[in-house]
Amino acid sequence: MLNVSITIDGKKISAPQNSTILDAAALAGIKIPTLCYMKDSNVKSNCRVCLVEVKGSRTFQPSCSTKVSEGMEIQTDTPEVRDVRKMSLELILSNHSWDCHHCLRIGNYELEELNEELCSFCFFCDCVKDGDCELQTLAKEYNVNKLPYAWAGEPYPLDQSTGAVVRNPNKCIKCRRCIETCTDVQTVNALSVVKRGNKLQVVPTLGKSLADSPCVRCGKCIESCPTGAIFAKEQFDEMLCTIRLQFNKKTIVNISSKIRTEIARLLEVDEASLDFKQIAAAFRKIGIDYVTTDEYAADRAMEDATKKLSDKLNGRSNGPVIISNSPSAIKFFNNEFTDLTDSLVTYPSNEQQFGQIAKSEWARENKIDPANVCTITLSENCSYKAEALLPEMSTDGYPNVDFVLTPREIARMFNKTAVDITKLEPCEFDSLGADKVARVDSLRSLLDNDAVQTDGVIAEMELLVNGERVKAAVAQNLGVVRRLLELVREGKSPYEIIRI
Amino acid sequence: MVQEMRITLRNVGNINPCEVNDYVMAGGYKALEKARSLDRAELIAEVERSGRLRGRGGAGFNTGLKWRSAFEAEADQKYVICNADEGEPGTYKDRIILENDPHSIIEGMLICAYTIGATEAYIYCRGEYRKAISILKNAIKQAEEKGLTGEVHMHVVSGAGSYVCGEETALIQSLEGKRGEPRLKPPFPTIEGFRAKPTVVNNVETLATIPSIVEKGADWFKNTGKPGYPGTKIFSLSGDVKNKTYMEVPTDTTLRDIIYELGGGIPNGRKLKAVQVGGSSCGFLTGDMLDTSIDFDSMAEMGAALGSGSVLVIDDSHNMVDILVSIMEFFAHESCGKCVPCREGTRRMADLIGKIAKGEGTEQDLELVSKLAGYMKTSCFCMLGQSATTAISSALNLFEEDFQAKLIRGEA
Repeated sequence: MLNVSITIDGKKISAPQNSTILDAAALAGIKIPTLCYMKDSNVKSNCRVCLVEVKGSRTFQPSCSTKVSEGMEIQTDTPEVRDVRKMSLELILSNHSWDCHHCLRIGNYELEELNEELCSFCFFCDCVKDGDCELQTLAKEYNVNKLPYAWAGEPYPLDQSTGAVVRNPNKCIKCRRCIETCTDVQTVNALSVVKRGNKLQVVPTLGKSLADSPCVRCGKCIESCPTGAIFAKEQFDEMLCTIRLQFNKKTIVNISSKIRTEIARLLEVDEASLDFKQIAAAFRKIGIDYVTTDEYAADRAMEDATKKLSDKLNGRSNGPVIISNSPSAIKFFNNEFTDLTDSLVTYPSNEQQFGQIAKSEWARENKIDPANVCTITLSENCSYKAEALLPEMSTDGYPNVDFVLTPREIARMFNKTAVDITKLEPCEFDSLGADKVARVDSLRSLLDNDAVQTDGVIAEMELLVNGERVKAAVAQNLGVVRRLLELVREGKSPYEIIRI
Repeated sequence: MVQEMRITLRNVGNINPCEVNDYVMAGGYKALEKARSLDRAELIAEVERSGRLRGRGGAGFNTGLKWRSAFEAEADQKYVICNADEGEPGTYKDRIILENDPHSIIEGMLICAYTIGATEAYIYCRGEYRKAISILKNAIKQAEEKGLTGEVHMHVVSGAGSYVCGEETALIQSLEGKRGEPRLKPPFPTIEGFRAKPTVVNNVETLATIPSIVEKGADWFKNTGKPGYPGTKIFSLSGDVKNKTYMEVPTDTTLRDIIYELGGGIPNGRKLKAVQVGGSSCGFLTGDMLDTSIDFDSMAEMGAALGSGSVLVIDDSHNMVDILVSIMEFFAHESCGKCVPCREGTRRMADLIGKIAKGEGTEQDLELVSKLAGYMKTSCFCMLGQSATTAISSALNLFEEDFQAKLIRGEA
């Protein structure tokens, strides 16, 4: 590729011809702030936070969408540029909830006057994204402490209809990152823009509640939201009440080692020095009775899947078998591909499998009334919160899983209950019954998410099922699921097993 | 005595707009015939040689260059779009052409389609112009029946009521059935426009002028009006002026002649305070600036703009802040909401101006108005936001005393 020479902040560099100012600056080690920009998605240039000065240009140019050209002279950090960025942030924040930058409790609205130590004991200011919010970070960086405009208030109600994905429109900055993800990556099309000017809103399709929209609770919008406008419903307060006030309850938590990285990031501790067993110790410290790992439940779920898959392959007449234990993929399937229902095989998610074991076998063995067992699982994926609410996800009338917590909730809970995870002695896990079944490994490559890294493309593999070699495909993002299922619908699928 | 010169409006009032034969009798569709006998490159050269026919929609972009760009772009399909989404407050020149001489637009579009090699042509007409839409539909049907459209398919599409859709990329988005919001440029529409194909978007007045240029030749056109912006321009007068009407004059006419001669002057014995030429997104002129000609560049030199050619006359009974209230409310209502400075800025600006107009503003509010105006001008995504505060900046410059008169004086 051809290169062009440009000058960024007085530094002469050579950048690929088609690159944006943002990418070229990154090459030169210069970081330009962004807000609506999201890597690998359409550039929108809505937020105007990445504006830079380009010599000869009448207006400031958005660095996320402006391509470099030969001889271009760019200033990324002049007082004028900082000033317009700050004004954009002020305008955004004056139409945004106050709970992150504006302490009502002590009647103080200057960020720099807030006392961090005092703040950490205060439960009033309570944005779920506090400390991990792109807008808050920028507001601090640009010293946005007093807003020159009258505050627009919090005119919109929260949408908690799904019980898993919660929307707080008062914190929405209309960057549309969630819409890009929902529409282009996941192809769910649950979110859209309505109205215009400063009445513009991002809403579930046709202004309904999320529960009435095609939303499948995959939670990808939560990952893409730079603020706290979309988040996973928080349950830790309720859970702490159960632990601390309902003395007859025996609580058991199921931890997957996968969440260690995210917890370390959120708690701002070094991942390498964080022992998985310290997380177990932290749970015991807040009063949880039993702490187990998810391997046994995962193996049991896999055993179930293997059996169902092999039965289905034996009994099927034509077409591929579609297998899934992902609640959002199953919902997506039921929304749009009901004509393929005969090909679908579902098996329990690790979360549900754990809950079911805990409330039956484990409770019997430990001589606990299942009514008094409280099951807690941890998952990065908030669709399991929605799954736990489904009436069919219960055993003998008791819901299999009582609480599903995300790493963010866990980190917030540890902070609020003053658990310093780095100071805890690692402790051993309890057993759910791991010594009793033989592990079923034949389909691990198909069914274990860790073994399959699909990353937005179709992962192909060959498997040995019932002594036969079959071609299989795995898709994790729903856009790819749609592509695969459309192939099945048209009868063009080259795969015999598809896991979604 | 200044006289009107009707080139674009040549048939207005003289023919029945619902009868294609009337238009043909008046010499219509001869230019199309002539154009189709010419080589395409030659035709573009002719339009370019017309001493730069510049777009009459407001931006003043060279029409020949636009056509050349689309002509040279290689694609299996190209489009011609007529921008009839006339939404600038106080502007009604396009409506006059649409309702009285639809075939002149159709002829202009067919010439353009032939030139760039397009077979699909759309008229994106302002939704409120119901009469114009039915006249256009009838005109297209008649032109088709007479075999004038050839292989070009013509369509009329009703706009959905948004000012920003007059911006060509937002218009294209709307035409594609998407939300009416501007797109990133580049790529420009002549390279990647409607359905990502090369597209020429021209204003109604521009297209209606084309047949005359093709028929009478570039030299004739070049010698009319100001050399840098030749030809005629249609103006629509409104406000405190006797004759609230439209007129077509050569571009070397002065503003004074338009207001006092053709417009009949200011009624009720009042004096002129300010003139806003070009619509809400343009600046003001005072009485001592009226002796410049109304061509694009002369206006720009004065710090104003020709824009769409609307002339809003304001007499000395008004405080300029009161005028700005309705202008800012208009922009706050019409902002599409895509980018932060325009979405939040237009609303905040309207609130601040409203507060000052009510006599509740402070010195700090005025400072914020000025700061916000400068910020929006340099930071908004498209011209709507960038020019939304032009009127405010201009009023602050020329009529600061009007603002000061409204402020609460702080106790010393």
